[in-house]
Amino acid sequence: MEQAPPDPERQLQPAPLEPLGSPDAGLGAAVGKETEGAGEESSGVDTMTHNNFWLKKIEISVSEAEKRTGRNAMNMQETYTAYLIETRSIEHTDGQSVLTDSLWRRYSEFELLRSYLLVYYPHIVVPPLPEKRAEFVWHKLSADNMDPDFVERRRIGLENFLLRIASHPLLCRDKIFYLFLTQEGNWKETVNETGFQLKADSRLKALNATFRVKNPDKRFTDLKHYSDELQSVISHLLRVRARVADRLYGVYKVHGNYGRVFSEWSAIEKEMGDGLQSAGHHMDVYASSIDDILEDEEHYADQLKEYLFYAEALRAVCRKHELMQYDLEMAAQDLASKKQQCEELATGTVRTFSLKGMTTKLFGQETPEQREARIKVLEEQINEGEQQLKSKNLEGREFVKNAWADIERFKEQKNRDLKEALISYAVMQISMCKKGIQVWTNAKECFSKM
Amino acid sequence: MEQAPPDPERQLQPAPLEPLGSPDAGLGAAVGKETEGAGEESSGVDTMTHNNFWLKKIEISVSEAEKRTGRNAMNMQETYTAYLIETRSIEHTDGQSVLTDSLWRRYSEFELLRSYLLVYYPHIVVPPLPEKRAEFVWHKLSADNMDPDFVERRRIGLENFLLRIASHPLLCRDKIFYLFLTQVFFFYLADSRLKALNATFRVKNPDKRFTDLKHYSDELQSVISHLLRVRARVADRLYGVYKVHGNYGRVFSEWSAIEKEMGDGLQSAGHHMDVYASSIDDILEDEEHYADQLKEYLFYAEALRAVCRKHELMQYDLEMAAQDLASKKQQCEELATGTVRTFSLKGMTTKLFGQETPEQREARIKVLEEQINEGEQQLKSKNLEGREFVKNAWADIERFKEQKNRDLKEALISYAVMQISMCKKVGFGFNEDICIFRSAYTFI
Repeated sequence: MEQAPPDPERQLQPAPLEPLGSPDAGLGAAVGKETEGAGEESSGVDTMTHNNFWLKKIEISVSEAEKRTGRNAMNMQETYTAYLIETRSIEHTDGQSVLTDSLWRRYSEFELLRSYLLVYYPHIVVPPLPEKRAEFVWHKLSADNMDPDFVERRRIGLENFLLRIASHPLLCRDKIFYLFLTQEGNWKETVNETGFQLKADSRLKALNATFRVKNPDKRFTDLKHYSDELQSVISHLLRVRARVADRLYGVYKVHGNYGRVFSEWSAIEKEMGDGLQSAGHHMDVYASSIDDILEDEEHYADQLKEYLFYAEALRAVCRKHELMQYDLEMAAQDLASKKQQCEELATGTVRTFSLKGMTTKLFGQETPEQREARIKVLEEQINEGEQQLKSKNLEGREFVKNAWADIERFKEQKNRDLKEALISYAVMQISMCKKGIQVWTNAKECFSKM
Repeated sequence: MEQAPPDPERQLQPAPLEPLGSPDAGLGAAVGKETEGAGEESSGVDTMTHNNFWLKKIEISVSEAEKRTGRNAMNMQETYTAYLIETRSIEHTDGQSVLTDSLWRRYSEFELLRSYLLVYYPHIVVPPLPEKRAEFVWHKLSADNMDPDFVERRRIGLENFLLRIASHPLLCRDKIFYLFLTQVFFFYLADSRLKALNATFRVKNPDKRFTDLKHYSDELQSVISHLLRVRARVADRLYGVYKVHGNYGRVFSEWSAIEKEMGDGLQSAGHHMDVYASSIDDILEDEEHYADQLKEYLFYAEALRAVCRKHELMQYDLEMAAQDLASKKQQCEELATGTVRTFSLKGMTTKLFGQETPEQREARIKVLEEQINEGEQQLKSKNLEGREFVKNAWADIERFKEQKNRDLKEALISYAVMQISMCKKVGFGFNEDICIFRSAYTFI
């Protein structure tokens, strides 16, 4: 069973922790007792700062993506994309950044890092990875993983993932995370050596496994419901967005037909010819402007998708808690049962069914020595069980305390980020309308001059 | 063959003609020596004025449409729509209007009026009727002739047709037009000349100006058809975009139910999405008006082509008459001189059955000379007719061209203005969304 407080072996001794990002930044600040100061967020190349085990501010960026070919585990040739992760440390005095580390990683290594974090930080809402395969595509976009646009958006998503971890007060101090950014070769072996796969509770993956918790914690139950509903709402939102994008694309493109018709028309008119020609030109400009608009819109969709996946991370924490609760209840039940058995053996009354009781009935009483031995064994087990139960209870309470702190942090981050995303979408719509006004005003000018 | 100047029997003696509309009005002014003054145009109920055979200013409106049932020519029951035409005369002194005539007509009677005008004013670009059946519909609109929206648009179109005729310096004085507005029982015309419009024939010396004009009218028709098809597609897709924003409304509503801090902001945003989604219905209804203006010129192109064709017909008749005259002259000459160069049946029989007597030949020459005289008279008058036709037609065509340029320019400007106002509405809606989101977080 994992320890709720971080395992010192996996943590470097932290330097004084500085939180990352400002409350207005998309990546949120670390909320908690250590909150102070501000940094800057950009989903671009740099400026995300954090300050811990390098004892300096650093910047992380996923700056390039490259197609590679190699041999996979079955010695078959495969093509994959590798991403360049660059880490820069920032000198306090002059603000210059110096490249300290630079290595290539592929998507599966990011997945490994995340799986590790999920196991060792079960009470943390672990930042999600960008989607493995393109979903909620509207028709123009390709669903191909090798598509340059998809690769580019994934590069941004992976950078965002690393920045989220770096801005988390606890995760940023993790050694494996540090090694991910600094040790190119052998990192996979190092991760696997931690044995985290063995520690992983396979029951977490079995999403459909049902087990009954007698005293569920209402807060976690409510949170699980919320994460389900959030996921559902965001899926709807993304589907609607894809439909709007599709239809908007159609409207803009059909204005290209207007351009053609005005052009045709200008050829047969004397007085109106020039005006119609210019108007046709404006229609063509309008029609082609949609491509850039919708590319920008993908960014907004990606922000929504991050929270679609964050909802799953939230649910994972709830499930972890459920499992802990279940184990606790089972342990308590087991302890109670042993105590009962012990009591019965001691007093000679047989109330509970046991195999020993059965065989005793069939084959005759056991000797007092045998019974004493058995009571002794049971008493040892009961002691052990009580110790275990005590520590499980402690664990549980620690887990709840820490989990809830991180959940509060997450909630504020979520509210900020989603508000920003929606505002961006509205701003984008407004700018689209302004462009529309511009084009039609130009066309009107052309017509008026005819 | 129609006379190029209007037949006095079909015209009432006109009162001093006042032109109709101003150069800026959609319906155009009468261009020509009689141009002066201005009136006002509206596609609505009244204010279109003209001044001729009533010796007073009048207003024409097609004010109502009504479904009727009756029996047709085959004594079968049919449903049709009747339109109420009201004519008002305006008193100079106090500007009040008095209802002078009011009668119901159906679409087929309008068609009859137009067919008559086409025949008797071949050099005039006769205003077209609104479409018989709805075409270039985008999917939401019904193609049903009984659909109330279609009937309403047709009512406006029929009123526009009558106003166009009333504003034409020549057509407004036509007696049949006057009777159309005042006499309940309309007589039927069966004119075979209408059928001639579709015959094919070769003209040896076509007038380049009319050939060019015919090409232009074909191309204009083609361009406007394209334009209308594109418009229908744009309307369709625009409708789709707006309506799908209704889905956004639903999702924001769902979402507001599960959020605490963001709840109000999301709810309001959802409301705006719904308002946006439902705004498209009015927008596209207004747009139909613009489409109707384009359609009118689609049909005007046909009217233009009819004038060109009429000219072709006249030219053909002229050439045939000239050819016939030349042939007769030749025959006459041969008879007089005794040489036979041209083939004739008489010549043939002469060879077979012997020469004719001098008396017989004299008689034939005399007949031919009479025919030649007659033919020369006819050719002279046909030439005169032709030149008159060309002169008058070209005057009306110039008038039409200016009207067309004005009207189409106005229609295109209206469309641009409509698009701009559409974008502004959307922009304001989304501006409010931002304010709502921001204000929901004043404490952060």
